[in-house]
Order: sequence, then C-alpha cells, then structure tokens
Amino acid sequence: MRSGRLIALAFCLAFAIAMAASAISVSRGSDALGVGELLRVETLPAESPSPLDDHLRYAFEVFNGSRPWTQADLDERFSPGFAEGFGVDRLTEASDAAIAERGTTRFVRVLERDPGSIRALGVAEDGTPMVVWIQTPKNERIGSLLLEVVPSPPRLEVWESALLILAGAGFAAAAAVTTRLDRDSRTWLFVLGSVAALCGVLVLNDGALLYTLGRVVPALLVPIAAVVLLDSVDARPGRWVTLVAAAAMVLSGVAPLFRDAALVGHPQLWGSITDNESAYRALLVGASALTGVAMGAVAVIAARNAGRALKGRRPTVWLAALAGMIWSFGAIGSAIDYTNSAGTWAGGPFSACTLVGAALVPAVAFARVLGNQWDSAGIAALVVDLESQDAELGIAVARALDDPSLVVVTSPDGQVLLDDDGNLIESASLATGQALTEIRATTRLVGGLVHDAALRNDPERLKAVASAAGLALEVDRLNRQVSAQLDDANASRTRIVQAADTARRQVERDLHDGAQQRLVALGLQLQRARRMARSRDESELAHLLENATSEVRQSIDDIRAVSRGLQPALLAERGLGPAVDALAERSPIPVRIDISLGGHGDLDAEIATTMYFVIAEALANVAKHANATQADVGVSCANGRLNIRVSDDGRGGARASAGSGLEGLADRVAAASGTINVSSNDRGTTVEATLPCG
Amino acid sequence: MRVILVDDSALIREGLALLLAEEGIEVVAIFPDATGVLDAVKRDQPDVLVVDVRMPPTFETEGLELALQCRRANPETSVLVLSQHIETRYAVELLQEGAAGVGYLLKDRVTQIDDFLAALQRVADGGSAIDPLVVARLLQRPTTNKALDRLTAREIEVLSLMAEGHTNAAIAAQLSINPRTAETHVSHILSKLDLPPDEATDRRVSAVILWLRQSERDVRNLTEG
Repeated sequence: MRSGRLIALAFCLAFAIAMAASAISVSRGSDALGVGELLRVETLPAESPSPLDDHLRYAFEVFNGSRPWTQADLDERFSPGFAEGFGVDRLTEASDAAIAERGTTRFVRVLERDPGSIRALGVAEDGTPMVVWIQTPKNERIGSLLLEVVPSPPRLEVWESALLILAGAGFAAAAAVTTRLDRDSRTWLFVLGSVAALCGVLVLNDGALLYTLGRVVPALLVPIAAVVLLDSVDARPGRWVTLVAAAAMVLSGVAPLFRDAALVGHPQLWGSITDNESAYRALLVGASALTGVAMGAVAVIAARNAGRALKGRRPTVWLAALAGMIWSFGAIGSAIDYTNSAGTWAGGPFSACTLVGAALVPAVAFARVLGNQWDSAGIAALVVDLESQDAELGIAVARALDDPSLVVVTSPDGQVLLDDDGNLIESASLATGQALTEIRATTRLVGGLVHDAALRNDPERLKAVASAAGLALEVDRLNRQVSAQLDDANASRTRIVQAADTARRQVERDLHDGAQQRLVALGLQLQRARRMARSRDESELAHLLENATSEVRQSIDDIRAVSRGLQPALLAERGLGPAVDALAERSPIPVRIDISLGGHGDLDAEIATTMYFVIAEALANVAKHANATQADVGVSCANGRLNIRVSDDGRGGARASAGSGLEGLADRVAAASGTINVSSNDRGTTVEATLPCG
Repeated sequence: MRVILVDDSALIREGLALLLAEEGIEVVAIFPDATGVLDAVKRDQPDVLVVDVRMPPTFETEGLELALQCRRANPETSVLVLSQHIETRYAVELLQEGAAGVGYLLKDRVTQIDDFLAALQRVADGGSAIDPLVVARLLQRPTTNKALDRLTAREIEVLSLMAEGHTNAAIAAQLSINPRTAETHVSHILSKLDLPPDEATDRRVSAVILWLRQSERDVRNLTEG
C-alpha cells in the first residue's frame, strides 16, 4: 500500500514536469504561428462605395473556402469590362500557393467594416502579410486584400498556468504529507486533484487529444474540491452538494462532443461527434452554473461551521469558505459569459476567479493536514509533558486540545467519574456546549474529559489525547498504588525491627531478672554448701562444690555476653555516647570517637539503637577483618540527617555481601528510613550511614 | 559488721542475707527497692549499704543513684554496689564522691565468697573495692596500653591491685613479695604516671582509676548532646 502511494506520487511529479515542459514548448511556437487571424481589407479610395466591397467579400469567401465558386458565378459578378483580367484562377492559385506553403489558412468572419474601406478579419497561421488583389481589364489594381497576422490572446496566460501548477503542486504536497501520516482516505483524492489541476495546462498543446484532455480533466476538480473543502471544515460531505458538483463535472466532460473546435485559433476537439455550437454553449453554461451552486453551498456550509469550530481551526474554515465563494463567483460569471455569443470565452476575471478558487482548495487541504500535524504535535507535546510530570494533567490536556474549559475528571473506583471536589460527573449533568469523553484502560474506567462539545467534530484527535491522558491517569493510579504498598512494606519492616528490638529488650530483661539472678543465687548456695563442707572437713565435697560454683560463674559470664549483645543496658541508661564509649573500650584497636549531635542529643530510642548497632557491627568488623591500627567513629547531625561514619586504616576488602552483618544492618537502617554505604579500598574501609534525626 | 541489703531479687536477697549471717555479719534490714532505704540507713547507721544497680521502678541505675545519695547523706556508711554488668563508666560515676568507703563489684563475686567478704570488709573499713574486671578493662584499652608502656609487667600487676583498692600490704601479700618492694613499686608507678605520692589508699584508687580513664580522654573528643 505504501509503495503504491509512492508510485502515485512519483507519477504526479513526472506528470508535472512533463506538463511544464509541454507548456514551455507550445507557448514558444505560438509566438510565431497559428493564432494570427486579423485580416484588414482595404479598397482604393477612388472606387468607393461600389459593388467592389461586395465583390471583395465574395472573393474572401472563395478564398476562405467557405463559398463554393463557379466560373458562371464569377462571370456574372465580375462583368466583362469591370473585372476583365481579374483572375479568380490567379487568386485561387495565389491562395492555394499560400495554403500549400502555410498549411491551413482560412477566414472565419468579418468583424468590422466601415464606409470607404473594407476591413475584414480572417485567419492566417503565418505571420507574414499577404496581399491579394483584383485586376481590372486595364490591368490596373483596383483593390487589394491585405492579410495581416496579429497575435491572438494565448490559450492560457502565464498566471493561469501558474495557478494550475500551484494547485497541482499543492494537492501533491497534501498527498505527500497524508501519505507520511498514513491516511489513505485522503491521499488518493489529493493525487487525483493534483492530476486534474495539472491537466489544465494541456490546453497549450496543439494535439487534439491532449488539448481536449486539458479542457475536460480539470472538471474533476469540482467534485474533488467539494469533498476536500467540506472535509476540511469538519462538515459531513452533503450528498446533494457532491451530486451537483459531479453533475457539473459530467456536463463539462461531455461538452466537447458537440463542437469541432472550442475557440478561434484553438486546435480541433478530440472525439467530437457533431458541431453544434448552441448545444456546446448550453452544456458549458450548465456546468458552470452547477459548479457555482456547489461551490456556493460549500462556502455557506463552511461559513456556518466557522462559528462552531475550535479557535485554532477557524482560519482554515474561513479559508475554505473564501475558496468556495471565489470559485462560485467565477463559475456563475463564466456561465453568464458563455450565454453571450460575443463573449471572450477565455481569460477574463471569471476564469481568473475560478482558477484562484481552485488553487485555494489544496491550500485549505494542506492547512487542514498541517493542522492535524499540529494536533499530533500537540499530542506529542502532551505525552512529553506527562512524562516529565512537570505539567498538571488538566492544563496539559487543555493545551493539547486547545480548549481552556477542559477539565479532567477521575474515577477512583472504576465505576463513576468524580471531579476534584468529589462531585459526580455524568453526561446529563453537563452545561450546554460541554461534552464528556470517558477514558478507559482496557475496560476499566480510569477517568474522563469534560470538554467543549465542538471537539466532537475531531474524534481522532480527541481519542488520541484521551488515550494519552488515560495513560497518565493509569500511571498515576498505579504509582499511588505502588507507593501505598511501598509505604505499607516500609511500615511493616519498621514494625518488624521495632518488634525485634522490643523482644531483645524483653529477653535481656528476662535474662537479667531470671536466669542470671537464679544462677547467682545458685552460686551463693553452692558457696554456702562448700563452706559448710569445708567446716566439716569434707574437702572432696568442698572441692566438688567449688567446681560447680565455677561452672555457675561461667554460665553467668556466658549469659552476660549474650544479654549484652541483645541490648546494651548502657545505651538505654546513659545514651549513645557512653554506649559507644563502652564499645571503644572493648575494641582491641584504638578508636577515636567524635560525636557531636548539636541540639539533637535527645535521640529517638529506635534511631539511637540503630546507630549503636551500626557502630557496633562496623567496629566488630574492623576488629575481625581489617587488620587496622586505628578506627574512627564520627557522628554528626546536619540538615535533619544524622551522619554516622566508621572508618579504619586497614586492608579494606569489606563488602556488604548477602548474609553478612552489614546486610542485616542495611535492612535495619532502611527500616529507620536511612541509608548505609560501605566503601573499601586498600587504604581502609568506611561505613557510612545516614538516618533522620529530630 | 552491720549491713543493709537492697536487691529486687528475693533469691539473691535471702541467699546473701543467710550467707552474711553465717559469716557473723549482721543484716539489719533488707529492701527490695530504694524506697525507705535512706531513712533506714540514717536510723540504723549500718557499716555498709550493699545495693544492686538495677532495681525497680525503671530497672536502670537506681542502685547507683541510691549509693551516691547515701554517701552524701551518711558519710559514715560505706556503699558496695553490685552489678550484673560491669561498666567502667559506672565505677567512675561512683568514685566522683571519693573512693573512701566505696565498692563496685560484679554481682557474681558473691559466689567467690572469700574475695567478696574481703572486699566487703575493706569497704566497711573505709577502703575501696573496685572489681578486677573494671580495672582489667581499663588496662586493656588500646590507648591506655600505650600510656602504660613505661611500666614494667610487675608494675602493671601492682597498678591493677592498687586500682582494685588493695593496700600496700595486701598487694605484697597477693604477689608474695616484700612489703618494702611493694611500696617501691607503688612509688615508682605513681611517679611514672605523674600522680602525687599519696599514702591514702582510697585517694590512690580514685587517682589511678581516673588516670586510666583520662588517658583515653586525651585522645578523644567526646561531646554528648
């Protein structure tokens, strides 16, 4: 399909070039030959007024070939003594010689005569003056025919050719653009319009067939223009308008069948079946009148639609109305012109109007296509706007549709549409001149556009914008959904960490109040028993009891280690600084501590615990893996963020790999809405975490 | 010796009371928490108040505060603070009122009954008893380690015992050395650490403990909100 269109376009281009070439060659020839037709007849002043002019006229007609002649006729007209020595034979010979030499030469009509002289108009294809004269018996020239070729008006003025070519090129351009837009419905119409307009130039050709095509094919422009103009103003192509335009085309097409030659000096018409001038004229009058009616109707429809059209479209609509009006005026004028037998039939203001109107049609089509392009650009801009999320959806859509009154409404439940204030929106409840377009993602109702009802005239654009807006609404909905789920997940992670902390505290408390105390009490009793045994000199028993006490002490130590790891009492009792201090005290590597919390010393318990564990884990890793000689702990607060930094001067190589303590920390830090980052190289490792503070 | 016991654990309370009674120590009163303790101390004038650090209502450091209040209100009564966790910080907090008649021991020391009784006696006599674990941790600090480079191994042993609150004689006995030798060690240590030569054991404890903590302070800039 696509290649087919390209071929059509290539054809149009070739056709246009051929046209231009042919027009150039033909117009060159016409300067020298073919259209001269003025014949001046002069009589010698002495012999006037006399039968001479009548005789001369007779001679013209003979010469012309329009009057058969006989010797008797001549004898009667030119009596001996008057025209003796006048040789019709010679006359004929002379004209024959001219005919032989010049091809077709004939007289058509006498246009003018005035007393004292005879002037006649004739046709000669040669530019050379010719003298035909009558000789008296005294061998004296009593009259002469001066045949003089005067240039007749060209078949097409230069500007007329230019308008036709402009129209053809305009249609071709519109076709090219629509092809690129992949809109086949209009492309072929434009291609046809281009061909029809360009064919008008063919009248410059002298060949009967091409000349006739040049007169007939442009008639196609009438229905094409009607359809294109109506489409451009978003009017339904009215059937009767199209029918009238088509009828005009048909009349125009059949007219050449009834005439041999259209105009003086023009080539023969091809396919002519009879030569009936009045029928020919009637057909042309009818065609022009119908064209005038069709185009007038188009102009009225366009003017009526202009009021309802979107603001951005109005220039196009008015242009269409103008085209219809000018064309209509030209066609009506031409119709009147054709009824007048003395009319010029070619050129003139009416013909000019017709051509200007025709040339405006592709301009309208092109404006419309470009308008659609701009609409597409508007939709593309809308998509870009929505992607960047800079523009508010309602504003972006209103801009894309050129409708400031536009409101985007949403559907929270996929069932009904609500505006920003929560009012129910239905088609029935809208103000006059407003319309509602629902937006659906697959089948789900995601929202709607409340817009100027005029936008309904452009369903494609509305649909494109609506689907872009629908995409944005759907993305927004999904974003909110995901965000809500993320919030849930974050909240649940925080709850899990908090629950774990609570459990740790509880276990630590339980160990302290339970197992540890009981073990201490048990140790006390064992000691008392040992002392008792010793006082009774049961040294073996005393020894056993001493061993048992040692075991108990060991257990107490073990539990202490566990409970300290669970939740350091110092953190709750004295705060982060002392707790970190105690960590440093236990570290085998010197630790420099720089904690400056400014006015944020009163840390949230969860944040403090998280910070403590970050530092504890990082210091434990330094002790275990870093082979460092120095570790630094820095805690600071800036811009509402706590920054924790634990660095060492060890060998690096630390990674927050799966299952490592650092990974566990990352979860913990994330649960407190913080971030953690580990960077490690051969000069040491740095663990940095940020947490919200205050 | 007359003692008041404060511990929220009935098992410990009763067990300790029995143990002390068996050792001929009079337990004049037992409290499950700090309530009324100061009044009892004022009334009964015990030699020592034995108190657990962690007690109701908040289970944080009520015992520590109680001990400090007691020292201020009743200088005649010594205090022995027992804790299930050893924090050097708490030892230092406790020593801020002076080391005389002050003890800070790990609670499970009660299962090493002889050491415990000796420490209790030392505190009752106006001396000091700092848990060996506290002293060991201070000595183990990497920064402290460096500061102690000038001391010999024996001197460090002596330093530890000094910090725990032992007298020169006790140090000599524990290290099985001549008391004169022990005195020499002590004076060397004090001069090496730039501490004043002080005969009083309790002031010596404060000075040594604070010096050990201070040595770390020198290289640390701790700012607490």
